[in-house]
Amino acid sequence: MNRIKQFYGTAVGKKFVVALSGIMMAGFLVMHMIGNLKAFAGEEKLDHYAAYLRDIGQDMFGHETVLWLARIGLLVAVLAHIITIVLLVKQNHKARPVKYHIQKSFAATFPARMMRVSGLLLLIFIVVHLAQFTFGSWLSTPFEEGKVYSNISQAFGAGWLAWFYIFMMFIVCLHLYHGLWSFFQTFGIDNPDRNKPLRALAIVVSLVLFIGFSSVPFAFATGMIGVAK
Amino acid sequence: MELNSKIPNVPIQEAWRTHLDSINLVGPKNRPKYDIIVVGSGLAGASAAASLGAMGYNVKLFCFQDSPRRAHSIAAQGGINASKNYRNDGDSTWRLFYDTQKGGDFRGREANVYRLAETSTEIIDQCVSQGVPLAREYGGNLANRSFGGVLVERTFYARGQTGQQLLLGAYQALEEQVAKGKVKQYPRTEMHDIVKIDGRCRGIVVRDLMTGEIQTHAADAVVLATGGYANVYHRSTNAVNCNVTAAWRAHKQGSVFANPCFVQIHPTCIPVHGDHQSKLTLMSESLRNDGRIWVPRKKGDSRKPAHIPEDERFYYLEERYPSFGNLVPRDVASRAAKKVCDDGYGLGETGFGVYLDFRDAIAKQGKAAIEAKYGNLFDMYKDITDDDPYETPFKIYPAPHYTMGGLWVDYNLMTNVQGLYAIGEANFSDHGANRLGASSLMQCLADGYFILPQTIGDYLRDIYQQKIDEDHPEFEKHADAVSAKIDSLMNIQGTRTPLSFQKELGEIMWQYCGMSRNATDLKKALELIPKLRKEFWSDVKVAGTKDSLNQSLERAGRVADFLEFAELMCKDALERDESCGCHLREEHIHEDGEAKRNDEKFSHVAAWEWMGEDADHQLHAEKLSHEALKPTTRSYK
Amino acid sequence: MNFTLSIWRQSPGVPGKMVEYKVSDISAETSLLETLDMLNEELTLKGEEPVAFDSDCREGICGACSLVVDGRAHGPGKLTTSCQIFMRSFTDGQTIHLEPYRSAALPVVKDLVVDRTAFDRIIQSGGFISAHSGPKPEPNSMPIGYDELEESMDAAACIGCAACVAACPNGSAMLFTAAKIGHLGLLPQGQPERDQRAREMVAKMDEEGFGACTNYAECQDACPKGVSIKFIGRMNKDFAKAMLCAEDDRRGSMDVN
Ligand SMILES: Cc1cc2nc3c(=O)[nH]c(=O)nc-3n(C[C@H](O)[C@H](O)[C@H](O)COP(=O)(O)OP(=O)(O)OC[C@H]3O[C@@H](n4cnc5c(N)ncnc54)[C@H](O)[C@@H]3O)c2cc1C
Ligand code: HEM
Ligand code: FES
Repeated sequence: MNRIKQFYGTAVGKKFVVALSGIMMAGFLVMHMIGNLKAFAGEEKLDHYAAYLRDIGQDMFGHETVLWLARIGLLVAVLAHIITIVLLVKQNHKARPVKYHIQKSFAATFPARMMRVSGLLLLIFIVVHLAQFTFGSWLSTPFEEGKVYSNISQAFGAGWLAWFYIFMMFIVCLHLYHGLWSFFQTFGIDNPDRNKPLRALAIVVSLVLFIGFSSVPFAFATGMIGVAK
Repeated sequence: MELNSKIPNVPIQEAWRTHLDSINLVGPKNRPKYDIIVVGSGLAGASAAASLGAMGYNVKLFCFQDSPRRAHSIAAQGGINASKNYRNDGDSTWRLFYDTQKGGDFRGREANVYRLAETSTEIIDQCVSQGVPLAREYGGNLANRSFGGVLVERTFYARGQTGQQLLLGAYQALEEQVAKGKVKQYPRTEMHDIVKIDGRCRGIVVRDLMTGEIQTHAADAVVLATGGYANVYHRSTNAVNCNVTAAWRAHKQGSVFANPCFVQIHPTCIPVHGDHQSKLTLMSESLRNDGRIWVPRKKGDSRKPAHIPEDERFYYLEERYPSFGNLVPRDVASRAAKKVCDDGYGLGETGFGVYLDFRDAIAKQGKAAIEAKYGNLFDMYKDITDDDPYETPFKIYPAPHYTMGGLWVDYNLMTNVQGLYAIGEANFSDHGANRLGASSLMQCLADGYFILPQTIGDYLRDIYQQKIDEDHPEFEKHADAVSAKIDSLMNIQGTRTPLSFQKELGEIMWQYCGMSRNATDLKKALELIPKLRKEFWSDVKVAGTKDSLNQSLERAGRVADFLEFAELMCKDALERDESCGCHLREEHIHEDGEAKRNDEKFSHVAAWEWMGEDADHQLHAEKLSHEALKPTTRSYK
Repeated sequence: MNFTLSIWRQSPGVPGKMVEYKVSDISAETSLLETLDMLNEELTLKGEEPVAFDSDCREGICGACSLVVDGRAHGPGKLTTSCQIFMRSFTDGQTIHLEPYRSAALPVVKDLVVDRTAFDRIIQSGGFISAHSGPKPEPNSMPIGYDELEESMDAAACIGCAACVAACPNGSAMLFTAAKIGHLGLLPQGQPERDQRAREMVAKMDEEGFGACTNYAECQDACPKGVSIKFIGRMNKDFAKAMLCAEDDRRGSMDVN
């Protein structure tokens, strides 16, 4: 325990926590996206899938237990990610108190420089998103527990919300592009020989997530799918 | 005064062992009772301080850079010699000894040179175990490259950064001792004087370069590892801050200065382009393996080099030295370049430059092969000059590079002042009148890792009972004198900057005491230097204040010492009325233009004693023994 | 060529500011530091304080020179040091901004001079192989593969100039520290102390007040010797292994005299 405390006490240790929690969240996002795409299979399939999630492992542990464990795991990752980032940002501000008169960057990519901003937007988004679709508050449209398809359909039918979601998915994509590559770098998997393929992988994964996630609100908003009004 | 070199009276092959077995040692329990000061953190100083600290002594280390790792040794490119005989080409301790003595034109001390050759292999072992990444072959064994003036391959290297890697090895060993509390380091601190009490060196006076504070430090022994003085020429291949101050101030306290006129001029440097240039960059000697050196046959030929046809090119080294050609030793190549330029064939506006041309090598071996061998050097040249040597020849000219002269030391590396040691380039050491490539790094590390740590006990045992600390009145006296000197520099407030004096002195030295010398010129220099010195002390203008970081004041102090030292150099050059190694007296050349030694009269170390501000230096000649190796005439025809 | 130099001037105890100076008749092949030399000559004669800046070898190897030129550590171009910047890389008449490194761990001492002793202390915390002078084994009894050796040399090439810290928006010293851990950790000689080296150097870096890594790679871009950030990844791995998997550190119980 002492060693773990010492480990977390260093900047490098914290980096590992950020990367690990980040990759956990990214993994979750991939599953989440695949789940969302069920929307294209129709109302029944999606609602069934949502119910299935609650039933995983129920024969062994009981209803919703596994889902809650996953949620707690995810929550821990989110908290670890955010708390650690706050600590690191503080350390970094202290390490560079005076700015240059001429501020330029030469190597840092735009997404990299935007990590803090994109991360913050993501935090706001996560809160809004949970409030809307998990707890059902803040929705101008009717919310009915368990009726996933119709809930989303009505919400995205409102148009602007869909575009807000699509924009947020772009932010996810931005954050993950640097985040994923960073994960490889932090874990010492990256090196100049592998840099190009790993960067490409980061682009591909974040784009797939963007397209996958955005397609659902897009389809609902444009009326390609959805419950009849 | 009697100079006793303390060389054991046995054949040189047995001298070092015999000596070690007969001197005093300090036991491990007693070592922490001794304080040793090391000034200088180059290869010599860092390795000595690290070794002494690890043995248990309390060490204080001083350097003027912001970190010991930046000492000038960091700049050495080519390599370090050791007679490992890895190439199976007949190398041996004897052969390295022979090459070094012959290269030095038989003006080195036989026993010292033999010891250096003996120690060389241990240095490589030591450095490798410290993690110095010396180059390896594909099979994993250490690699070698060849260097000028010898017939075997014995040079070890780490890319073009050998000095850097060796110094980092020594620096890391040093920092380990700092962490253990055995060494305390004082960066950005300049030594201004040594303190002598009862004829023994008992400490130093330093100036903290950040605060201007004058401090004193007492010790049982003081080691100077303060490098060479090639910057007496202002522009040299040395780092811009290298200087003679520490050695000179020790000299003025009684330490005799040996062979000050022996300065090596390196043939392949980037020429001067303008008055404001601050230093000359060395291009590795290895370029001469494939490059051809020439000048246009027509004086002032302003055509592009590529447009000058073959028969109008004067390949002067190949013509004059058919068997060695472009690969003659450094001093010979340098003088030949000077000669063609003095005769009016030099390149460009300044007329000081010759071509080093890879056209033929590229045509024969292909660009790729040349790039593989010399790519980094070509790039470096292009960065500096904006010329692409793949397209147009290098322009090169000789530049001051290394100083064989230095403080006189005995076989223990102690100067004639009891308790004051000099190691590395700062002593007059082992290179005679000319140093072979890759031998300085070897000597610095031999001194620092192996010789000094073993010999210093002999003296320390001797002064066991006589502790002295900074409260002794002599410390205050010396500190006051140092302050007074700084005050007088600050107070002149004349009309010329310290740099302008350094430049003018450099020009005098380059012109009258440079690559070739004669009595008339030297006498002329001996008139000009005191005049310039007088002007300096009445007209220099030092900016800023003395109690904070003041680089103008630092330079002024160094120039003041160069102005005194330069005179001794010229005196020594005038006194040595022979040609030997890099010291060419125009009065003494063979018909074919080669140097003519006079072994009968000058087979000695010229050691000069300071007799006071107004008195002349006194010369002490230490006769050199040639029992092991009889001097022959060097010929590279 | 003529230039305006806008230079950070700061004396101990007084807040600093940018001050403009004109320099004229500079030839294109003059170096930036020589231009500063010339300015200093003028200032000295005018009775003003010359600009303090660090330099020594002036050939890109000692790591003393340390300017931030127009917002770039060391100045325009890649794989270069401040002393290897020549005036031909600027346009005639241009204003050139010269600032010191900015990092809490490398405080400004005066004008363009900073205190880099934190780097020495990082090395002291473990950047060495303990091998005190004396007879050592024959090097060829421990062959080292060409590639390993060269990779180690890639890291060892670091000149300790601290441009990585200056360029990093977080003032992080990861590249410097990682280069030393990489250099020694890639060699067989470096193995016995590998764990403790990683543990202690990483901890020291934080203690000295350097920032964390955000994988911007600005350090690698500014590094005059092209040290790769792959060494940072390598250091991270070494560190994690040393912290989480390695045996106990027993040095405390050893009898050191
Ligand atoms: C460009 C170049 C390339 C070279 N290449 C090679 C090569 O390939 N092979 C080879 O064998 N040799 C080479 N040499 C020569 C060799 O590098 C030097 O002779 C050698 O490094 C000198 O080391 P040193 O320890 O004696 O002194 P330096 O490394 O010069 O160190 C002097 C130290 O003394 C300190 N100091 C000086 N005065 C004071 C003072 N007053 N107060 C406090 N501190 C002071 C300095 O701070 C510094 O730490 C080369 C030299 C040059 C210039
Ligand atoms: C909730 C708010 C979030 C904030 C404030 C945030 C902030 C940040 C910041 C500032 C970094 C850069 C850290 C550094 O390199 O020092 C980062 C890295 C990362 N983030 Fe986030 N993030 C958030 C959410 C997410 C989410 C939802 C995911 C996953 C989908 C994610 C995945 C990652 C990854 C993989 C990294 C890279 C880790 C590394 O540096 O190796 N983040 N985050
Ligand atoms: S002055 Fe040495 S690297 Fe620039």
